[in-house]
Amino acid sequence: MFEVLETKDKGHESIVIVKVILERVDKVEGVSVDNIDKSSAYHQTLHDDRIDHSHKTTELTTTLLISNPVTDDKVAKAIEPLNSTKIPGEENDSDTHVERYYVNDGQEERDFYSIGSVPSDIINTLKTDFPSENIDDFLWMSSSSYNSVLKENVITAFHKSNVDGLKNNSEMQRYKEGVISHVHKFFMKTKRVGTRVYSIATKNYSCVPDWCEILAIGEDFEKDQVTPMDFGYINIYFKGDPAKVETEFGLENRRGAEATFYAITADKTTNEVLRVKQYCYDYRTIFSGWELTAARVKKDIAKLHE
Amino acid sequence: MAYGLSVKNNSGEVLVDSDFNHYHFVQTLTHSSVTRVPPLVDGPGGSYDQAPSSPNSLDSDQPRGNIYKFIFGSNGAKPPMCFIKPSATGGSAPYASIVLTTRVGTNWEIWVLQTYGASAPTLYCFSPIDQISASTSGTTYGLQTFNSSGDTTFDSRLKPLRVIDSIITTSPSLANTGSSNVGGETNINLNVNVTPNSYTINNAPSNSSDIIYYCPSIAHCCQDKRAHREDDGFQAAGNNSYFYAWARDDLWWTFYRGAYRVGASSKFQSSYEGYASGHVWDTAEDTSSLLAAIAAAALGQWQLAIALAIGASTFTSAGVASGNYYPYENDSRNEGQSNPAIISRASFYT
Repeated sequence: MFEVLETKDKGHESIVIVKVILERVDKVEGVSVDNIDKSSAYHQTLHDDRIDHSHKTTELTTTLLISNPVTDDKVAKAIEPLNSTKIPGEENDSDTHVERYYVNDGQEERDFYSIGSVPSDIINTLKTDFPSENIDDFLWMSSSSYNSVLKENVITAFHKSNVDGLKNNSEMQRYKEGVISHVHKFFMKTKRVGTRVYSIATKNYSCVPDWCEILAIGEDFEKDQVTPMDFGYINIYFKGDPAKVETEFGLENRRGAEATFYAITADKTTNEVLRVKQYCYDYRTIFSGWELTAARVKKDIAKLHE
Repeated sequence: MAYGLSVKNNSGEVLVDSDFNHYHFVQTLTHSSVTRVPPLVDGPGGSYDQAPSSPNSLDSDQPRGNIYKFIFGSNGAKPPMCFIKPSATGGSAPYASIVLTTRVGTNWEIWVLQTYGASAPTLYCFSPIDQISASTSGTTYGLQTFNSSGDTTFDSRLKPLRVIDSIITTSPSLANTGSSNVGGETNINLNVNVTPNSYTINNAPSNSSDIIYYCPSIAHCCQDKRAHREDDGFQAAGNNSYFYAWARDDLWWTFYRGAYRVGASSKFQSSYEGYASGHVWDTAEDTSSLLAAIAAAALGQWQLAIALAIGASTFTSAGVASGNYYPYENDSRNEGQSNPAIISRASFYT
């Protein structure tokens, strides 16, 4: 599909400036569909029901030299090679993992996967140890990681129900108070299921250097409870100059090509650093935009308080 | 003519005339420095939830030729004629042309633009006798002519310029046509890919590397390619789900100068070489997890705001004064003008 924007006659040939539609793709829940009328009731439903969807367009404007007389057929033939042109800079949608972190209590690494890419041994372990959980209800899931503070292995997962967030008043109220997101925590030794709630940080913590920017905190709850359990620690998520953070906390040089963030598990009473994690993103994923998420939530909270 | 000398060939063309200030060989020159026009790359950085944050550089297929600077010492203010002896000939030879001849102090500075990556050309320089101080001592035979003022206008001992052919050239209408060499992962292509105008060289030597030519660049061409990308929708990601809309515009451009080479079968070929290239871009994005903020009814207005932000005036605030990145869009100048090429042989002057 193309549109001739301008033609300049140069005698026996013409300069033809043409806009080529390289891509016009609508997707609903990741599946390509016919172009959606944005003014339709159906599109309104996609918004009202928080259904994952997108309307992507890519156009390229280029210049052709066409022998006179210029015809649509000549232009169409000339732009054939353009139809496979890729604009550099498209994001990497690799599904191998959406997040990787390294932890300093044994240099263990943990990966987070889209549910379709979770290794089968993780799925099988969860099914065996938590038979009441429906694995199909989760969107992303981590590998098992030893938590030296809790002294047991933990698997972390995002539940589908989270996608319905902000559709009801209670969720909106929590969002207004700064809650960003929450995950399921499967404690593999004690066979408990907990919830970690991530919120916008509202104060500084002395265990995090003042040249770092604290983005969020994480507090742990027993599943379906509304009061945080007093585990005696708090998780603080922040960004900082990687070289300085590595020196400050004695970490190995581990950085993501796309982004690197950090988390500390600290004793609530003494502020002692119990555990440090390095989150390394080599490409943009659904989890890699910590700063952007924090900024968006703060902006939304400000709107809610207007 | 009441005095003097005029020598013509059997076609009636003047070969020697005492009234003409004939050009004589002065010297060969190698370049004193080489440079390239710095790339003009600018646009907002930063991270985005959905919008692409790259490319943020020139594309690998945006040409910028080498500019070789030659210094020619001269006794006078009359510019020299500098013939290019290309470093290579044939179908893969680089294009080269003189893009500037300017007086700098007591010297003349000559800039030669040539395809990047090739070996440097050599210049064969000629001037009228009154501009040079070449020695003729020791040689006591030959032919000299004088004008009515008694000034020497021709001296066979100083290797007068010998022309084997002159060709009227023009340049192609464009340097790049998007219909070729673009596709797959090639991405943006602004390389010179137009078919050159080709001319037969009469009296060409069998060894094409002996050919030297004088044909300063007068044609130029400026082309761009633009990409526009946009997307909006809802991303489901737990409580971190959000509505989004973004758009990104990229503009890649190259300014070309007319350039020449001795191509296959000793054809003199007229085309272009990239002189300067740039890439500017702009991005707009907004996201919110609140339905109220981006209700469907408001979405159109929101998108309109983004479109306005990166619309026609997109590239006027990317850090370059007044957005004057290049002189004109997707056109050429002087490409149809008759530009004479004078052809000679290097071996005449060794």
